[in-house]
Amino acid sequence: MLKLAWRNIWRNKGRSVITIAAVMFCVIFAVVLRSFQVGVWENMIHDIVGNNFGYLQIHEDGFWADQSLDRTMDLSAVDSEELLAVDGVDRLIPRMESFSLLYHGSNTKGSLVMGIDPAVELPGLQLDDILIEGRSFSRDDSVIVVSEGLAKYFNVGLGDTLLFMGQGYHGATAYGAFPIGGIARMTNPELNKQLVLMPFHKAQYMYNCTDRATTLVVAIEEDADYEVVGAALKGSGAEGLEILEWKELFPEIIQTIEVDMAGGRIFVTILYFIISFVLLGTVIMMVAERQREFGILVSIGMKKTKLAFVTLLENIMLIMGGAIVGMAVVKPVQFYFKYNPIDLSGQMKEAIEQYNFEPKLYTTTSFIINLNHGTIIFFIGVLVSLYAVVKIMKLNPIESMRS
Amino acid sequence: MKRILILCSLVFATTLAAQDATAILKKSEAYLRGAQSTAEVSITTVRPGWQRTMDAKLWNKGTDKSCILITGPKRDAGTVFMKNGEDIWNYVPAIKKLVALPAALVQNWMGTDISNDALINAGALTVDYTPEITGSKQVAGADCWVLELTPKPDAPVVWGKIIAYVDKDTYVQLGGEFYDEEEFLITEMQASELTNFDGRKLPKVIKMIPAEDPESYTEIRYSYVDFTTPIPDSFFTKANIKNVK
Repeated sequence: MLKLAWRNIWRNKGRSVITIAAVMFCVIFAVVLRSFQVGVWENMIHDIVGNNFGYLQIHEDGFWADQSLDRTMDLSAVDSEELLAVDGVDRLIPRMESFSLLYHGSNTKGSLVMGIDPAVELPGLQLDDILIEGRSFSRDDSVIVVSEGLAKYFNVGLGDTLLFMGQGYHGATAYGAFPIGGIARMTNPELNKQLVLMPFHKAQYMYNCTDRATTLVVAIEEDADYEVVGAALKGSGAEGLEILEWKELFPEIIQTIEVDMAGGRIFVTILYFIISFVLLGTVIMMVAERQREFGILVSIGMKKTKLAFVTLLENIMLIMGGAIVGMAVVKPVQFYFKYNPIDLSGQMKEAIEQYNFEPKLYTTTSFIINLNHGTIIFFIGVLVSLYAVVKIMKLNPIESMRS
Repeated sequence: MKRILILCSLVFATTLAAQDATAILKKSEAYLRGAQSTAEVSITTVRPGWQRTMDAKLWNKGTDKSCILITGPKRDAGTVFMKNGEDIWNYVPAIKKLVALPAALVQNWMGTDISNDALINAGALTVDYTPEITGSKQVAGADCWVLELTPKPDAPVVWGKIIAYVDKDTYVQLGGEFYDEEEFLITEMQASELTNFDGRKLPKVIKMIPAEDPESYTEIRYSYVDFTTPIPDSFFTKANIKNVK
């Protein structure tokens, strides 16, 4: 029976190729569409979360909810050895994050101050990579690095001094004056407008938080799963500390992703409808072309069920072939755009930058998507092939032979 | 006619009482302030599990000139707050910048429980408030007048009402309660350890306790007060603010 089906496929190569091609393109379209969507998010999470904020952060319990410097953690009281001993933890990165009002001349602007130690920071805050002018600093240095947007706003350059006015630990005044040692371009457009990077110890001093930090970013080993590491850290007795995953830190990112994904799913569903009718078209065409053949086969004694089964088998083979070819063909496309993202320009770029995303379209190379959509299209194909089965079961051999 | 007379005398009586209250408050403040005064204090802010002490020097002259210089700890040393008439300035040596502050600052001063207002307008309550005697009360073992102070219309103040307890003997203010516009108690003031400073008996310790969190408080401890050394008017000027020592 399988042999029969196999032969039938090769009997009319043109028709087979059309069916395979239809399925293949359906798979390609669906996969490319979803790959871009998932890829953009994957990249965003990796870039913004993984490279800048970290997948896991440790704070004093309750800090994230009210972000008050009164809830900074005493670094000497943190058992970092125990935290570092947890599997998958590569290093702990201390940060001192707060707000400040910046002055230069008669201009003022609210800004986000981040006290960091570049020597241990995440890739997104490796100053040497993001500097467009000037130099990096060490944790004890006395120069700051400002984001490109901020430098533009104040119209300042290297060597100019910015004044800081803010509030520190337990209401202490947090004033400072620091010369600009470098200007950096942050990939996150929002940060690029207001971020000031300051040597860690200077930020501690300015905010009257000596030996304290707002945040310990947990840098995880490359092959570690942050969820596993997070659970292990929570179990390691980090008393009085909160260990938060990025999903808890930035629930708005998750919400945005969900909204976007829902939109994507609607789009893909519409695509599936179109795909279904295209496939139905090829099946109808096939049945119409083979009316006479079916009639003859039935009249010379072939059972209708057998005939229907063979036809179904043929179709399944074709569709499966198409799906597999589609999944395979789309793979290089996915890889290409992962490493060569589409740069958006013009209005689209501005619109996306408003949402603080990098205006580039990446793809994901996750094979799950290919498999998912290949399978869905395969089942649609099988469903549509049932048309042929119904037609065959209702077949009147005499009439069909006459047509 | 009789009725009118009674009414008149009633009005007169209340006016008299108000004048009395004003006189008491003025006398109390004058006693505390003198013609001018120089003082050294240490200000300790206490929070559950944490505390900080700042040292400061204070200068006062008349009802409208005052100056505060932070002398310690090192990171805040040199910060100056100065009031002269309507103008209030804050000089921050860390950024070498002079900042003009609004007359009515709601926030607390440098993370303490002392309101900016209480600090800068200290000893000048009669300028912005109308006092009224509402009774007597024993406070810290002394018989005190209870004065209720309501802000004058359009006065640039942050409190809706102040209750002050003034010792009938010495005219020293031994306690106070500060209410907001909705009459909620915000801060309570307690004075204690009456000590002889330059010939005057004054409280050595003043404690400010926020009503919301009784575990927290700020304590101002006077170590030195000088009522005799004259301070020139030129001391309280913007030009001098960087030279205050």
